Amino acid sequence: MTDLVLPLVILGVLIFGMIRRVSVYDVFLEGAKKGLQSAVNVLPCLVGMLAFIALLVKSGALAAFAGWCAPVLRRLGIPEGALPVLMIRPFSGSAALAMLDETFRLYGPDSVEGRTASVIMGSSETIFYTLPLYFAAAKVKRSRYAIPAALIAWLAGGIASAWALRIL
Amino acid sequence: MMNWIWAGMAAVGIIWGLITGQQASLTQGVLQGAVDAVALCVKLAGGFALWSGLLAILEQCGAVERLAKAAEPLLRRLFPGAGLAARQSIAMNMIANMFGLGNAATPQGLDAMRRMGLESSSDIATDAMCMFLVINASSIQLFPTTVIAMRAAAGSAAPASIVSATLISSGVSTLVGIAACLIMRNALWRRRV
Repeated sequence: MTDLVLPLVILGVLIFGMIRRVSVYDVFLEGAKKGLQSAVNVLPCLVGMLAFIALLVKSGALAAFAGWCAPVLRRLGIPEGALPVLMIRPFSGSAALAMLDETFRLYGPDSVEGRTASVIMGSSETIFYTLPLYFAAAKVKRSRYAIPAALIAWLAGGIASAWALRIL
Repeated sequence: MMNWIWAGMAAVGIIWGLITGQQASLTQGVLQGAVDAVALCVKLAGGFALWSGLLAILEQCGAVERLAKAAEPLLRRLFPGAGLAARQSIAMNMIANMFGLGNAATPQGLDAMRRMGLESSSDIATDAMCMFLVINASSIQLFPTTVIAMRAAAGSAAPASIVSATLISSGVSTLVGIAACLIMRNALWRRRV
């Protein structure tokens, strides 16, 4: 189904554009240029964040932190096997996917752990990557309550993941 | 806050790594992270360019404007102070996100932030920016394609069985995020201009 979305969207946009007599090719080039610029603009921020997130992951500090949080999160109903995915999710999308695969290997994709980890994966975004990136685009230095609020939402999503599976 | 988080991540990682004797993987990891960032940017750039181009066509058609107008009551309430152009980018970003088109969503989101930044012309985040980012960070994807594909690859008997639970949990996290923004905006981080 998702393989259909992209081709159909492209076709629809082009047909729509031709009907409205937009010079589709010229406008596309203009927009594509802006897209490339925004990719280049985020690069410095991307390097800064990914390099230091790698330090957190490779040193094992994040895994240790997850271990300390385990007792509390277990109280809230999240199975221990799903914790690595939950803890790494705000930092790195690709590392969380790798951790999800590891969870599947250890517990199986249809176990409580595997299912909870799957839901957690889709309930939240990479906070420490998205927020700095977007704030850099707005040239904002003081982010006020954005990060605490995002972390509260992330925790709520984690707890909701475990409970939603239990209820359904 | 970004200064502290960024420096804090490095400090915690480095100190923990040195205590546990992981100098080699620290060195290798930080360099690899920087290289990965450039590789990711190159990978993203193609998708960004393609989607920004297609969306520019839609914008010329006036479709984006109409769409944003339809969502106007909601947008206005959630993002007070954001201008018309910024609200249009926000609307496009959210729709792309719902359909799991991350490559289309990100340039629109960056555009929205850039516009809001120009409007406020200060280096302090506005309430609209915070709300937009928290909603973005709490994920509003309707169909988690990647996770389903991974579950299928891992031999799950029912790969798509997590869809409804994912909807609920991402809905809860989005609502909690919005509530957290509203509470913190009024109680703790009142903006002083």
